[in-house]
Amino acid sequence: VRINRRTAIRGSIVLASMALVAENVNIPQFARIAPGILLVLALPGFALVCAILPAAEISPGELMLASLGASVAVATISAVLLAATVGLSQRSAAAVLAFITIVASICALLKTSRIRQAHH
Amino acid sequence: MPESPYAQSRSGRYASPEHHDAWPNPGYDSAPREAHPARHRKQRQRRKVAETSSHENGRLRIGPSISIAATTTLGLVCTQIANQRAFSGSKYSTNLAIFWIGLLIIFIPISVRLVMLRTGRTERITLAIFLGIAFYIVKIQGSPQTFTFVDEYIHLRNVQNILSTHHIFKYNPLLPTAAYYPGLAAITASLVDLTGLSNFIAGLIVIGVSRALVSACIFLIAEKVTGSDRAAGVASLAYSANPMFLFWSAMFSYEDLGLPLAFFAVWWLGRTRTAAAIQAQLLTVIVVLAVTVTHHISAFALAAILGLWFLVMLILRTPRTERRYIGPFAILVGTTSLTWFFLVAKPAASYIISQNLTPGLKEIQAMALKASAGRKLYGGGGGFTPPPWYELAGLVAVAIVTIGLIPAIFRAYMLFSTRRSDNLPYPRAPVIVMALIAASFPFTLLPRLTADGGALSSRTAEYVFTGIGCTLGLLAMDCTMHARYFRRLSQAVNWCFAAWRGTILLAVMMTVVFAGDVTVSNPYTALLPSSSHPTGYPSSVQPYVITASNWARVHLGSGQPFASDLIDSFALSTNGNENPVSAGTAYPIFFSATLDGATAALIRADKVRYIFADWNMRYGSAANAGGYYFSTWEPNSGKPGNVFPAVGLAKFTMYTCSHMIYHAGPVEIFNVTGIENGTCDPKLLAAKKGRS
Repeated sequence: VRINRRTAIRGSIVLASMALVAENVNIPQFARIAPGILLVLALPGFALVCAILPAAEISPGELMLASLGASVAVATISAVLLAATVGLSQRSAAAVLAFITIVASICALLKTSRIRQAHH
Repeated sequence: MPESPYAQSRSGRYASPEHHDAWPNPGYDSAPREAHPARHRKQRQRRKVAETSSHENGRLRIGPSISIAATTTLGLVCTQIANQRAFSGSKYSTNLAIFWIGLLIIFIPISVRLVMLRTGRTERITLAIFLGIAFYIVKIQGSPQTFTFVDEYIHLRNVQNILSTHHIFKYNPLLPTAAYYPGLAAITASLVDLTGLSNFIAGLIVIGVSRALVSACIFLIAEKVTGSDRAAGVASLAYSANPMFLFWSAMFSYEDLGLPLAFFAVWWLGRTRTAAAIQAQLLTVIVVLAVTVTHHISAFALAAILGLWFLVMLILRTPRTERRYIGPFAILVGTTSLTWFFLVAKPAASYIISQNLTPGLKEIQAMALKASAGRKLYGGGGGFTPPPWYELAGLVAVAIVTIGLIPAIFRAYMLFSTRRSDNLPYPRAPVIVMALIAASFPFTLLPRLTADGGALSSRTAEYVFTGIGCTLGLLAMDCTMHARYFRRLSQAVNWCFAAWRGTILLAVMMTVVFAGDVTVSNPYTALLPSSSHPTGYPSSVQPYVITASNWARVHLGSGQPFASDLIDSFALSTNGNENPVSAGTAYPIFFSATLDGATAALIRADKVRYIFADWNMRYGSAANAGGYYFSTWEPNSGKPGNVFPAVGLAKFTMYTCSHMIYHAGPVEIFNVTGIENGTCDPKLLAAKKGRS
């Protein structure tokens, strides 16, 4: 099943928003597991790589690897920065990672739109 | 343009050298060697197979995939059985045999499939990742409920510190340096915060993802360097066969996050350095910073590799567009890592240089001057001597790698010395870098011959085997694809490596290297966990120690300075959240026969308020690799049959100022606050008799 990259980017915005909500409302712990893992280990990197390389310059496999590596790096740096400044907590971590994901996703969508327009 | 000697195909995928017309290596060119029709036919068939392989890149074949999944599952079942039997205290040699069978059932089918000609690129990279994950599961099987390796306790304490204070740089009694490299602890703490999972599960997920990352990056880097997915498969196998891969690289330790990130930085930089958009390098900056705050040696290694890469590119006069980011990033990593190392992580310099590097180098120097006899290899824990096959396997593995490196580096030199028609060298910087890294292998073995340098030597393997993998991968391609100089060398070699025999031979050699390297880095008695009801002094934290540590946290409060043996200090630090003083400085307190005079002075100097006495030290030799209870400096360390003297523990009940406040099973906790603050001078109680 091939998923359009723009659809995937939109999906990452939705997932990041859902994860942010899940971290800020009182829901059972098991319901936080999947969104939490995605928010730390997948979404920020995916959005960032899509924003950096908006055209299809990277194969799906490489995109997956780059998303994983970038997410780990982004989550590490943001966690260290939070813990060095305001303090690392559930809300601060969720807010920062969701913010990075959403902003990078919007950048990626804008860039891909521009590329599509240029092609047309 | 890619740096690889192999041209990049228009689709962006790197074609295998065996079927690439633009392949510059004289060993791969299509010039016919001998006018033998049958041989020509075979060559054409082989080339056809290689071409078929390249066309199958996009899909996984169902049959082989199911077979590999089945054999890997079977192997994991064997290792699980071995671990379960070890927990129940069954005979160690039988358990070990089952464990080895399991490991080989996992490794051999994957290695055969990885080096086969017909295997597609997607399948190869999937197998490389799959092997890494399978071995990660083997490590988890040995400690399924909690972290049990020494370094894991160190980083678990870091995670606990961040979760409890929400801030980094809090004191870590087990390794003060680790607190200043908070990358792993911070990402694990954020995962714990966001998911509500336990520290243990969150740590497993983080290291599992890092494991997949490192396996994929090694494959892709090797593919970029060698230009062949098959050579990359060999490189991945060689890397998986490095002595640290099975257990050490799977631990919850900062290196096991730092190194994958460093490899990711190299891959990403190599992948995007010719891209027009400078934004691509934003991610490189983020990754470099993440490596800097995660692990010191990984950051230094990254700086060294990028620096070497840039230097070789400069010497080879590589076009500026290809090297424009390499040099600046080498400088960036070098600057940030050194700044962090000397200005932020202040205890790190003492830890790395004074405690690890200098003793090893001094011993090598002493050995060279014949002032020191070095150490006996495979000494085992507590003087235990492993069976001869265990030692032999390690020596054979080292011999195969060392002997294989000679033609492999010669192969890299051939590539280096080949010139284009315009008399300029081919742009082959990565091959040269990898060959230089591989060439350092024999030198990294030297510290292994010293008493203190074993760990230093082992840890270099994770870096050196990247180069070894790439150069051996290139060599394997030469051998199996009938390179001319090998044909000249020997018809027998030619025959051995031809067609399916080459695949089998490569897989067998890789398996021997893997098995041997497992024996190199793991003492015979440490491959499986100890019994859940050990007799004598245990080699891992026991439930009664955890109970005592929990009691200490609840009744004495967190952060109390304890003196204890090494293994129990892990539980005190993590379960108890106490601050045990270094076992290396605490051992004289325990080994002394009296509590007055010098011992009281030591208690005051080390600011020890509580003594954690584990009477199990009396009932068996220390089973760790060095054969010690506290540190290598303690009396009779490493001597076979050595048990802790009873008077060392009994004295705490024989003096005033030392009050027993906890006693359950073999554990006693004594309050010596009076001695520590100088308000009480310990005197011998005539009425009390020591236990013996």
